[in-house]
Amino acid sequence: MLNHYAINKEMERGSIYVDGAQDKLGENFINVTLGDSIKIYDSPSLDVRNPMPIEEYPIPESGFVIMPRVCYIGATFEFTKTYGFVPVLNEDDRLAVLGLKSHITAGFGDNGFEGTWTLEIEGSVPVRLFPHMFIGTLYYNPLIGEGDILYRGKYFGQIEPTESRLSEEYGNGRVRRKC
Amino acid sequence: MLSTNEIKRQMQLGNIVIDNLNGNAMKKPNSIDVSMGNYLYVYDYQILDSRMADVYLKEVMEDKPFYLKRVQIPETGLLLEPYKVYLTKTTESVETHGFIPALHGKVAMSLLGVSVELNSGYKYDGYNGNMLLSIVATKPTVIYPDIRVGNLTFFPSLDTSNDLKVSSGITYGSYTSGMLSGNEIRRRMEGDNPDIFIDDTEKIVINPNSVNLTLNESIGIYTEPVLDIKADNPYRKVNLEDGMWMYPEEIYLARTNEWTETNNLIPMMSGRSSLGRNGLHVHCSAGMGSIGYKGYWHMGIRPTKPIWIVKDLKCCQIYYYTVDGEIDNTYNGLMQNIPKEELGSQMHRILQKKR
Repeated sequence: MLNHYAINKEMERGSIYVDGAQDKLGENFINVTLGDSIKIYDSPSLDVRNPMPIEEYPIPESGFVIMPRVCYIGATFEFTKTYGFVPVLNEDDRLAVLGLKSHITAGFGDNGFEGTWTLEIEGSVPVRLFPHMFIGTLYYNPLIGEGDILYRGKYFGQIEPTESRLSEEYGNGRVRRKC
Repeated sequence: MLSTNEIKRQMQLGNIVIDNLNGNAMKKPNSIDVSMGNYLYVYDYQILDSRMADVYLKEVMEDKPFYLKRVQIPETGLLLEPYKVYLTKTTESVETHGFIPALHGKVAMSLLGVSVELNSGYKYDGYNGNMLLSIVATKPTVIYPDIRVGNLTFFPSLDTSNDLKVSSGITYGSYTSGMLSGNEIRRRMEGDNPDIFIDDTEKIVINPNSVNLTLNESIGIYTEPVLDIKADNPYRKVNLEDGMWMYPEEIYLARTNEWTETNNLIPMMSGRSSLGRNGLHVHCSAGMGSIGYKGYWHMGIRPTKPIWIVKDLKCCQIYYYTVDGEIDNTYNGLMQNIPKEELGSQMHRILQKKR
């Protein structure tokens, strides 16, 4: 994985981009923060084949308490672009100590992805979140081999928290609902 | 990712220092076993304030609880309750110069529905200390003191490369250590002695830097309401058929349809983002693989909300790390030698092994 000198150089080359990265650079990673809003599935159960209604809420300055047994979808505040590397979102001890997961999957990204990172936020216990709080660290693994296959999938270019689009694979559309 | 041989070499050079290392901890090809002690820290609070995270972290790492409460794990076992977080740190401490330690929970714990690091395993070059363990159980689970819970791996901390590559109009540095691109994965599946073998090569979907695998219809559900990590916890098998409901507070044992074999590379399993956005965990901790692993990929599936699951779902993705250093052994652990239809956790066998 890249050290901060290498990350800096790659940002100069334009292969790695993260909003405001200069202030967020760590030894081997870039710190990312939580965006302004959070989405909650407005349904007692889910079905992978069908889109489920979802509500979006802004995160107020006073904080937003997340509860266990609920799926929250958030997004990083930072828009990112990665070419030639596999970015990995790691949670960091500062979140694990609260029993907080900001990423349900292992956090590997795709070469060629552009967008904010979707966060599948889950608490084992109730936790109060704040807007723009630290939410993870991005590491970069160099790509070995030809990097011609770029991510151009369902979530390319996403900015707001984006719920699952898996239903599109089953031929069902999306449900859009805003509060 | 470093081979164990390379970890040993770097330890001799003084670039990696591991204290309290158990003698038998270096048997796997690309990781070191790490363990936890005989105590845990718990919260008294109902709602945690994320702004206090640094305070709580310091209490755990320095063993100076004030807001946290210390709980001893007796030899007879301690019951972990779901919807609680239990904190402790590894017995081993690590110091690196030029390498990044990364902690992964053991698959055996994940198949019991117990996470030990909540995706927070990556540290940084120059790390010096024990590693935080954040333990969360899905079902009530009895845990014991002084057990092996994690796999510690190391990545080289790479300095700027001035070898350049251009792809799709973008220039980027070319390095000798990293993760395989989709094209490279496909290339390594070819030939007589491929590095990567995945059963049913024709139908495999290759992503920019990973492959998709699908869910086998055979699902295991533990029959006891309380799990015991020392026991061979019994489970019953159900068939997904046209679909089934999966409920939170239950851990579902599953495996991929595809048999995989990996040589000279380190495979890692991750859930799919589309499923994660539905609150579906396929693994409690990142699914670290080993050089030479031959088998199906086993998952401990856990939903956040009740969810309808269908078979042949594209459930996980495999990523491939290149190996840094010489490989002198390949994986021949517990997951290698279980019967093909076995789904359960092998934690009870790990605990029987000599320390």
